[in-house]
Amino acid sequence: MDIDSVYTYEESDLNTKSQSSKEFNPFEVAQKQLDEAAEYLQLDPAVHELLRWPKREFSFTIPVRMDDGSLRVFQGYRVQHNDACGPSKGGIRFHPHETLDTVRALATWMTWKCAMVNLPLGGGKGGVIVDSASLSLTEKERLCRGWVDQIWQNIGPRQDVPAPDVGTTALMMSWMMDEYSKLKGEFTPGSFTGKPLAIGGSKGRTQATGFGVVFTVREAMKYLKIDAKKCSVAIQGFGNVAQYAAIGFVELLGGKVACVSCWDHDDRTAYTYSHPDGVDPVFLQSITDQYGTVDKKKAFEVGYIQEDGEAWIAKEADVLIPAALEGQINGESVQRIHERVKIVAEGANGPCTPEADHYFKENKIFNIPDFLCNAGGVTVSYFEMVQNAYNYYWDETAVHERLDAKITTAFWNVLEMAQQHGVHNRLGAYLVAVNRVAEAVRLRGWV
Amino acid sequence: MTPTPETSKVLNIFLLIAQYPIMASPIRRRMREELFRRGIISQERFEDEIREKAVESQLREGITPKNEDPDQWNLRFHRVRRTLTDFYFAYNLPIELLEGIVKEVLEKHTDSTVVADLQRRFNPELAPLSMVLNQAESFENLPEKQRTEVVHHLQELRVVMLKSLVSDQLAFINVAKQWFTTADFNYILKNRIGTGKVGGKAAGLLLAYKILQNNAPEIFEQVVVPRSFFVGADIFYQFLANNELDFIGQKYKTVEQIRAEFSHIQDQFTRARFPDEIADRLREILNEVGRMPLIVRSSSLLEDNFGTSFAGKYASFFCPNQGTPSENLRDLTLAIRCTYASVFSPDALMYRRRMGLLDYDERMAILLQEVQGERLGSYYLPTMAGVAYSYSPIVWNPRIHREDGFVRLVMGLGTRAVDRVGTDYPRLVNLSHPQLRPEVTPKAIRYYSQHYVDLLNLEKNKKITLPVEDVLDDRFPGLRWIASVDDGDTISPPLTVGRHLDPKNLVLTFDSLLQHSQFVPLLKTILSRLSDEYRMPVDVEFVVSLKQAGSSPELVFHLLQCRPQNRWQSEGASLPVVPTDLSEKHLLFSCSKMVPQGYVDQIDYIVFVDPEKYHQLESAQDYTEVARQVGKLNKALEEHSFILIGPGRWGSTDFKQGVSVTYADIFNARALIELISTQQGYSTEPSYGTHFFQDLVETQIYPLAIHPEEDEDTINLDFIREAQDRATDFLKDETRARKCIKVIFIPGETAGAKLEIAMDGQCGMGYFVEQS
Repeated sequence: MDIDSVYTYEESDLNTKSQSSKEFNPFEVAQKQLDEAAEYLQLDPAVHELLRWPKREFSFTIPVRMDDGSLRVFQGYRVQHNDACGPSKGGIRFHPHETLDTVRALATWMTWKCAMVNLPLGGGKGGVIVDSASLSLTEKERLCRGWVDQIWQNIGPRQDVPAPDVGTTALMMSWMMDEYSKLKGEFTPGSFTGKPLAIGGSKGRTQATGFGVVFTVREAMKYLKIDAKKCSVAIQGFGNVAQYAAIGFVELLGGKVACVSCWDHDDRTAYTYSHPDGVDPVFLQSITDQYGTVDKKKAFEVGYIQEDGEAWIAKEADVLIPAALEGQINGESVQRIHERVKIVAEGANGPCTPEADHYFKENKIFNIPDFLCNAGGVTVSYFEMVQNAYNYYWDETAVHERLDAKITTAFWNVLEMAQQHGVHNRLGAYLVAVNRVAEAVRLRGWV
Repeated sequence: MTPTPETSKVLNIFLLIAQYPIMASPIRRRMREELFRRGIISQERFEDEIREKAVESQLREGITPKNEDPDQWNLRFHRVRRTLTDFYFAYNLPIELLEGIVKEVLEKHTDSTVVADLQRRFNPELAPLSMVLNQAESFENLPEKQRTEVVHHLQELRVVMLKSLVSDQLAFINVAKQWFTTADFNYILKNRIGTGKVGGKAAGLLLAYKILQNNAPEIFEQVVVPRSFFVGADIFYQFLANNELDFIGQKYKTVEQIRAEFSHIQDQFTRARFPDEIADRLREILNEVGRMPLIVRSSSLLEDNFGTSFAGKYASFFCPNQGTPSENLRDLTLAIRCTYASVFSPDALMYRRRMGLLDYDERMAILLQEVQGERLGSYYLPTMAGVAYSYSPIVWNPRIHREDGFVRLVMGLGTRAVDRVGTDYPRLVNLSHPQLRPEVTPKAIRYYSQHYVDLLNLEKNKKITLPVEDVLDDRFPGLRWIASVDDGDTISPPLTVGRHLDPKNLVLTFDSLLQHSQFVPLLKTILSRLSDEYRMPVDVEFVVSLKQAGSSPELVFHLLQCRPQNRWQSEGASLPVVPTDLSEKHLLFSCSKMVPQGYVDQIDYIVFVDPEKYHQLESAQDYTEVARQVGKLNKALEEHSFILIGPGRWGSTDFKQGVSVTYADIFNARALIELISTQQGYSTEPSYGTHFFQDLVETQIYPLAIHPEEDEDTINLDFIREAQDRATDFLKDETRARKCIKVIFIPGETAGAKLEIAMDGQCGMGYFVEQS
């Protein structure tokens, strides 16, 4: 799970909502996923059992003095699922419906995600049962500092590094980092990531997820022996991820963008935009507002064509990048995919349903699973920690070069694993991750 | 003609008495007593003669005796009596006697009983206004001890003046009589065109100002009312008569007729002309204000009354006032004509019908005000404006205290705070917790902020709407108090202001203003003092200007309007009891968000707009047609008790957000239920705080929002989908829109049971009740 893009906060919020409405226990789902991977890997039962459960769980109360002088006590959590590979990494959620099982599940997924990209990190997650909207700015600050006061001895750059998530923001990370530094008696920027640039955030974060998507697409093309310069891509969405995926596809790969689809705030509907000479993503970005709505008038002036929001999926293209919402490519919409499509890269979380997966397999369409495809965000979070530790900060190019190296290696690791076991890439990514953590557990002598 | 000695005596008497304008009446009364006592003329004969002379004067002045207004006849009678008194005295008695009388009356004047005695001599209800005003002035000028003795008379005089100049609504007078003084009546007279009342909006404005002047001395220096002029309600009638705009009985026509004929009425009004003397007066006003922009606001007699707000029913128009004098006059009169025409608008007439106000002889006065603002190049706009409610109609968090009030705040003209404009958002502030907001992330804060600003373009001489970033930059006055900087990670007020601030990164949060200025305490004081005196919640339209002074800005609160705000329930009425022991089959829905307090029973019909089918409609025409079909059902079902259930925001002008009905399409419904869903295409925000909402409040149409995807809320859609559709009983045409509307006859589906809705402020429930 990408923990640093604004997108993901919302998407992970949606995930938990849909799960709770189906009365899913998210942690049980996470355990079942591990069970499946363990079976393929014929994982040692003791390691399997160890990895099914979080290593440490903290549940604590946070007293907060409210603006009116009253005292409220909040329930806080931190779960460190596994730290065999390195300090735990994962967000802090302020959510009114937070449960320990949700936090456990999200912590588990963080373990796999970090391991899959081969980051020297483990998985963690934390939370507070609170509706952020019910607190004033000063109360939020006291709650953030209170959370750190309770847990500071069990977190830190060498133990567990939280980041923003649902209901928390960069500003809150600043307060938490400050509180931690005070308690520690030294400036410790690496105790939290997702901080504002001015106090130890990393450059290149805005583009990270979108560029990560492009790196995986590039490698998939190499594998499929396709010339990127002759390829075109159809993209759903035109938010942060989609914008940089489109720009990267043109500028880094030399391909063409056939279309992008985006939500129109004013018309409350989605449109697909294309251009006879191909979409110029930099221009289109320049006429797109903060919320991903393209200025129609300006687009029409230079010859853009507007179609309905569904049209993107049927466009003649070699690559599809669903980078908007969940479940967009399903059993029905997958039938409309153009026969030329060879790669589907999951920029969003969970954009393809199992029926779509099945169709990809039948039709030999190469699928880059979300797990791998949008791992750019967490990778740059790791880079933020590294830069904080050095107290030396890289320029944007350096961040993106290092991101490229990490994602490219991860791509081939996953592909190799999937081929070895004859499974689809989604499971392949899991196998890489579980295998890597299991190995660390063994080497450390935990089993 | 050479004057006779007697003529010069009459003149001498007149000049002598003219030196005592207040004592003139008792002096003449004493003169008459002398005439009667000495037998020069009997009292009866004298009064007969007055009448004869008065009637003669009527004929001379071309007035048919029977048609004269009683006030005017009274005035005529008194003036003739005055002349005759002087005449008889001059011809029969020496001037020295008069000098003695004057001396005697003046001596008595110091005796307060004489003052009281004076008062008894005329009936203020019948007396001319100038007489009442003079009398009241003389009472107000009395030393305090003597004034105490006449305070009841003064009260009566003030009431008479209020009724004549401001409003004859008793609830208003009951509050206003404590506050108005002759200075205020003089102010109205000085700034009024015509002779009629100044109407509800002007009345509310003046009353609020007086209350604050007296009851909020600690903040009163910060409160101002913009320069205002009043066009009396009589001008409206004169205008109709002069232009033969004869729409008698229009208000009693059917909704369809009223709607169909309104554009024709508007045309006729815009072509009509003002009498020259009115145009001259308006020209004088324009000369007086120079090139200050003006706003023409409706101020009808019914408007802003206690219990009926008329919010949004009548139009207001901006006149930037930057053309040639004749263009400015044309624009101003056009604005007034359009405001006059809105008396016949379907929304206004339907509202009156619902409120039982149709039979009232509605007349439109006009409140003409200078627009408060700052000049920025060719733009003219206030730094901020808004609407403040003393009782928050919106509660989205249990921490919020409704009674601490609520504000919708915008940069620029207040139109954006008053009206709801689809995809833009004013800053909503609950005054009990001004820092609380529903949004958490910088992205959401930015999304739910104001993106467009209404302002006057003085060069183009019109009101325009621009993106905020085109107007707000580092040169904008008070920038640091209203804007925050979005640096990509955080949104917070700027620590430094200069050219380095990119307008694209500025977000209107008003955070500094809310946290570090006197804005919140000031608003709370104003709202609480006003609602205390009104004895009910009020809402206030305002502009606030800022002047930087030290670490906190000086705020000036420009009061534009104040009116009673309607609540769901009158004071003291008990809350309904929401049942807790219902079986599943008896429950139609339950909801938990922003629930009002109230109770509706005996509901026979549900008009259901199917969200799925609605969002599958193909064209804009189809969507609009749904609203029209709902309007037809509203009429067809007027004899029945029914509720509306449908997707998204009822009344939104953006049909994608909800069925775009107007008040005229739904006014017979008992409840308006919004189905809120997070699925694409549906609105996730119920409608609230808009003009439409106030309509619902006053006519007790209860708005409820059901979020079926949330645990606390439920709706039995199976019941609705399985029920028989009776729409064909009421709707004849088979349009595409028709397919998404279903009419359910509840007793037909429930073996005779009817629907009841109980709402206790926390929870709302609709359930079937067997009819015994």
